[in-house]
Amino acid sequence: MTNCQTHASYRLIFLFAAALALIATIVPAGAVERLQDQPVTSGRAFSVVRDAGKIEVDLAELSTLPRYRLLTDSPWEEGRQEFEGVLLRDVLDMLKMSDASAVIIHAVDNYSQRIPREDWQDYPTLLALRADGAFLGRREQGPTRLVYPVLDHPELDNPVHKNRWVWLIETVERVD
Amino acid sequence: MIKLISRARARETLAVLVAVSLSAVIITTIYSNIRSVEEALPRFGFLSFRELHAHIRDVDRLRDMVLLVRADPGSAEGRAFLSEAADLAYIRFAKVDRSRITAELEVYAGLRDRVLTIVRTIDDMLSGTNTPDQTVLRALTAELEEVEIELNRQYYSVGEESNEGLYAAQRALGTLNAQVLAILLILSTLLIGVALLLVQRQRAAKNLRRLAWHDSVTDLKNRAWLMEKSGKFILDAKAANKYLGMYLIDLDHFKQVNDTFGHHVGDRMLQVVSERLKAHNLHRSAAAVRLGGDEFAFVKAADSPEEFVELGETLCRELSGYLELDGHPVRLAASIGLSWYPDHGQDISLLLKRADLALYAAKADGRQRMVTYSSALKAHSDTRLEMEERIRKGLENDEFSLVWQPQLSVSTGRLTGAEALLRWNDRQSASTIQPPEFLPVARKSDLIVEIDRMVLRKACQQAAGWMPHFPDGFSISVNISDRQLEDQNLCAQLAGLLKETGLPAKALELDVTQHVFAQGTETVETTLAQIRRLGVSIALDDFGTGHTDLAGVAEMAIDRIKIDSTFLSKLRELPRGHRMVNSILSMCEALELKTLAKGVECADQLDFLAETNCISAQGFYISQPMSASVFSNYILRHGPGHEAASSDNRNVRLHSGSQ
Repeated sequence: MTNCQTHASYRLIFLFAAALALIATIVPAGAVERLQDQPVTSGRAFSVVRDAGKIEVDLAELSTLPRYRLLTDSPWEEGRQEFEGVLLRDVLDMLKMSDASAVIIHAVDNYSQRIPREDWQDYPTLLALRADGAFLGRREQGPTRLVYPVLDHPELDNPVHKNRWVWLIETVERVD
Repeated sequence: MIKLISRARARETLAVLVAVSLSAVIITTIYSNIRSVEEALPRFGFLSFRELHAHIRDVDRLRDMVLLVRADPGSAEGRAFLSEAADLAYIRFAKVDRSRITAELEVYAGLRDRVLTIVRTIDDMLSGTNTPDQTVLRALTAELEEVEIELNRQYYSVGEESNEGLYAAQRALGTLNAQVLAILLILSTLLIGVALLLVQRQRAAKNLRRLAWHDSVTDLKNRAWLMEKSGKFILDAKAANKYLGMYLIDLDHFKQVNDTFGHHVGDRMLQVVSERLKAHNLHRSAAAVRLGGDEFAFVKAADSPEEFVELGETLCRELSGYLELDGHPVRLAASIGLSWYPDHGQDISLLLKRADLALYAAKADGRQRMVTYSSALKAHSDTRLEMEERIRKGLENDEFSLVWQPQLSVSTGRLTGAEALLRWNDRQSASTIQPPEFLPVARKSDLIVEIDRMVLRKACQQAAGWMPHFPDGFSISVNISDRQLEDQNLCAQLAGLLKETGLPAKALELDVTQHVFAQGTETVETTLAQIRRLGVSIALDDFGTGHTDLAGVAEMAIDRIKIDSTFLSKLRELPRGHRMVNSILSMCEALELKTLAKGVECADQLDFLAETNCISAQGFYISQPMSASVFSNYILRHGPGHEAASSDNRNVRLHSGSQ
């Protein structure tokens, strides 16, 4: 290793650091971040009730959608969490339901919430598939759960939206 | 005054104290009530309840699933249901944030541990392939039931507590609501009161300003207003590139109208004048102001001074004539002084001063006319002011003295009286100033009153000493001005003076001019009648000059007529002079008026008077005027005891020649 090479590698490190700093300033801490090359899993995600019919959605189908990472506080759990998943907007687009006035999401324990259209149109509301680097099992409120970007949008930090954090999603139902 | 202020201040302090304590009571009441509502509100909120309920539901579900597996331990479906229920319980007790419930429920931590232990036991049980053990399942059921009972107990207990709190809060809110309502009522009443006070204060201020700037009699603006707006008038005229005319209007003989007919007639007259002035205030282009008394100002902007002169003459015309006021025929006449911006002054005060000068000139010119200010007027005024000042000083230094001119009986040649004439030994010029030089100036100011008083006093004092020499009578003539006659107290003053000096009333004769009668006011006539009742005689001086109202002579309250000297001096020039004097004397004889001819300068004239039966005579031929001390000697030589002096006219003539 010559002196010249050492010099070049320092410069490279410096440039890398500068680029990181630049990215850090552009992308805020809690921002939704598009991800590439994420692991794919399969298995039943949830059912969709539409046009008086019921179809099953698989996790593999969801994995074909653009994936995002979202750092946010949860009103339900302590501490900040890093979720990964797809946008509810994209999911409903895929299911041709994004024109609905609302959807009702049912959980395994029969808990259900009406999610109005604004929630997926105005916010990057996430259908989380992974949390803290792992797919969501049932003990982790999976396989899918709804996550609101509370950190970026403090107006979502309220009792009404808190209840819309549905986990253990079982069924998604269209409302017109 | 100070007491009033301090009382007002004390009242203010009291008001502030009351307001402060009232607001303190209000704030304390509201605050304590809100606190009580806050304290009564249940600490265990709705979301915590919901959470607690979810906990119970999950435990209940878990127990049900355990029972399901107990009933059919071999069923795969039952095991799957149990696994799901265990997941739900795990999420509820392990994952979800429990901080609030933990904080509120002391027993929660223990129950949680017990549920998680149960979940672990179930996990272990389901992880194996063996059929679940009934003993374990029974123990789990009992344990879950205990947990559920405890959770339910907690649920109902905090529920009741919350219910009580909510009920108390509801009641406290009701009270608070009533209090807030009462306070708002008080506040709005206060607010309305304050608003009313403010409106009233504004109205009072407006009223005060109106009062301060208005004349109540004529409803015109007053002097204070004119002064307040003086700057604006000039600025407006300057901005519009216009002239600003200042008319100073003074009613002639207003005092007499007041004195004769009463103040209500005077006020009516002022109102008539103000109405006529207002008629010229078209489009608010002018302003009529009552400066005080019978003095008005009229301010008007115009494009040329010619307009001012024209309007001034119109005003003069409009403000003259006869009015019928409360049934009295009253003569209205006004004198007007005019000045204008920018030629005569740059501010209202100067314009007023100059208009005043012009007004003075208008009055001096014989009233009922308008005079425009000019620099010549000012020069004249300066001379006049200087003269006034000198007269004032002269009066202070007693520089005025009397000289006496004897009056003889034409038939007997006896000394029957003397006229007091005024002389001014001016120290400043070290010369004697003759009355025609200073009396006109004095007449135009108040000085004439003082001079009159001084002359009367001196004449009476000096004449009183001569009385013992004249057992058959002797009278002194003293000139009295029109101004003095307008004084309603003249008679009383005269009576006092006579008493003080000891001069008999019949020894005093006051000379008045025809002018006094020409004015024809009741005041003067009343005064003259009163004076005559005292015993003092009245003589009509300068008879035959000016406009003599022969018909009026018969009506006048007079005792003697003094024929003016011009008649005697013109006896030769006018062929009919003899006959004229003759007829005057005959008239007087017919009216039983005494006569005196003035200005006897030669023996022929005296002879003529003797022929025509004139009663008395006075003139240089008889004697020049002399000082009081010389006149005392003259009395000694020519008085009643000296027949030679009085019986022979020649002696008189010789004497006068030696003077």
